[in-house]
Amino acid sequence: MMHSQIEAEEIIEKYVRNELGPEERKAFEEHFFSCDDCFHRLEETERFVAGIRDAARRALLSADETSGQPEKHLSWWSPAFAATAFAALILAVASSWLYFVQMPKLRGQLAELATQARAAEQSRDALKHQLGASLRAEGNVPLAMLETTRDVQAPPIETIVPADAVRIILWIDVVPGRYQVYRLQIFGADANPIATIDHLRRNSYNALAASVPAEQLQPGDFRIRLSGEEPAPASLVAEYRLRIRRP
Amino acid sequence: MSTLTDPDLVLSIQSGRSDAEAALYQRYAAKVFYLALRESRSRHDAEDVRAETFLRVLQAIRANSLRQPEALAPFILGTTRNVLRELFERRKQAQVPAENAQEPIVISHEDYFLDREVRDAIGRTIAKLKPRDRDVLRMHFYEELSTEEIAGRSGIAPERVRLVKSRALKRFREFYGRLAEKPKLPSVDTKRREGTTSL
Repeated sequence: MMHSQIEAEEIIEKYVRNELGPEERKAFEEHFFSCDDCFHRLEETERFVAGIRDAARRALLSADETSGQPEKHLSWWSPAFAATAFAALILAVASSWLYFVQMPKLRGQLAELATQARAAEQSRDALKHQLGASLRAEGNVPLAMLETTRDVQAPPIETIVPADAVRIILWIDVVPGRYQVYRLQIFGADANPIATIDHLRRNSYNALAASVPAEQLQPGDFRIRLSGEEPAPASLVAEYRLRIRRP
Repeated sequence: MSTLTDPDLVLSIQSGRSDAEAALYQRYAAKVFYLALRESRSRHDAEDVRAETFLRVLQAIRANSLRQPEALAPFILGTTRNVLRELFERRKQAQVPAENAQEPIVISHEDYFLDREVRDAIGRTIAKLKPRDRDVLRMHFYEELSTEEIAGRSGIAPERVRLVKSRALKRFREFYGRLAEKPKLPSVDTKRREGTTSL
């Protein structure tokens, strides 16, 4: 018996498992009695088979239900499935957290912000409207330059006030004197008092500027009296005549 | 002396050298004991067979009855078989089965090979195997299925079954070799035991 035959036909294992026929068994025994190497391998195989059978008896080579079934892909399928299932679980938990916890919170914050934005927009529109009106009034404000005259026959100062004017500025140049605070009184043609403006002070141009609502100065003639108030005693400083016209 | 060829050993024994007889015993005792144990399934009987075999072999060599010294190994094997045949005839006449023979009794000769080192090496080998490969080994060596039957049941090629077996055996050799190197494990009972038949 040759070593190549022993190797190829697994003679040693078959001998250990009593699978050789009488002639083969006799031939192999004659061989290993003369071959120390094959006898050494025979002893190793005996130990291996004895150990494997012992392990099987002790359930170390566990036989599960799938042991008799084809399982070509189980080695990679199980960890792959476990990894996929774990990833799906993580995704489901994250999605639930976003949907049930974060989304309502964000929706509430969004609604609150929308309310604030609407309020801010309304406030902005109101301010814009007021500013527009204010700018429009400032841009079109008519100015009446009041001047004194000794000529009683002289015509009154005319000021053309646009129909949409909101206020009229009465501008009076004042010679610096003892008074620091002035009063301005406006009378109609029939000497009825129309408006009184107190606490007027000279501006940087040494003039008094009084803003009067345009609705109080309808087209017509007016008499305006300027008196010094402080320091006391008060006294009449000047009188002016003003005529308001519409364009 | 251990490096002598079989014909040289025969000549040395015939010239009366006792160390040559010891070398002969050292060279063949394990093989004789293994075969005797395998056939008799009794350690006690195997020891007796070994002693009787060497007694007859040495007597034959001393008496120049061995015609072909280069055929010493077949001669020892033949002598072993004769002694075993006589053992079985005695058992048959006495109707004493191996199980009822004097202790120690082994159910299978493989129990003789099972010790702590083997179990340890097998455990390490199994730990390195995939579950499918463990199934292959279990089906082959425990359930006694053939390679082709395992291939059919597991859906793997017969070559794969052989590969699993050879790789597992190779790993076992490595692990067992390391364990056996620490205290050198004796081979199959190559030493004379006290109380056995002297040569």
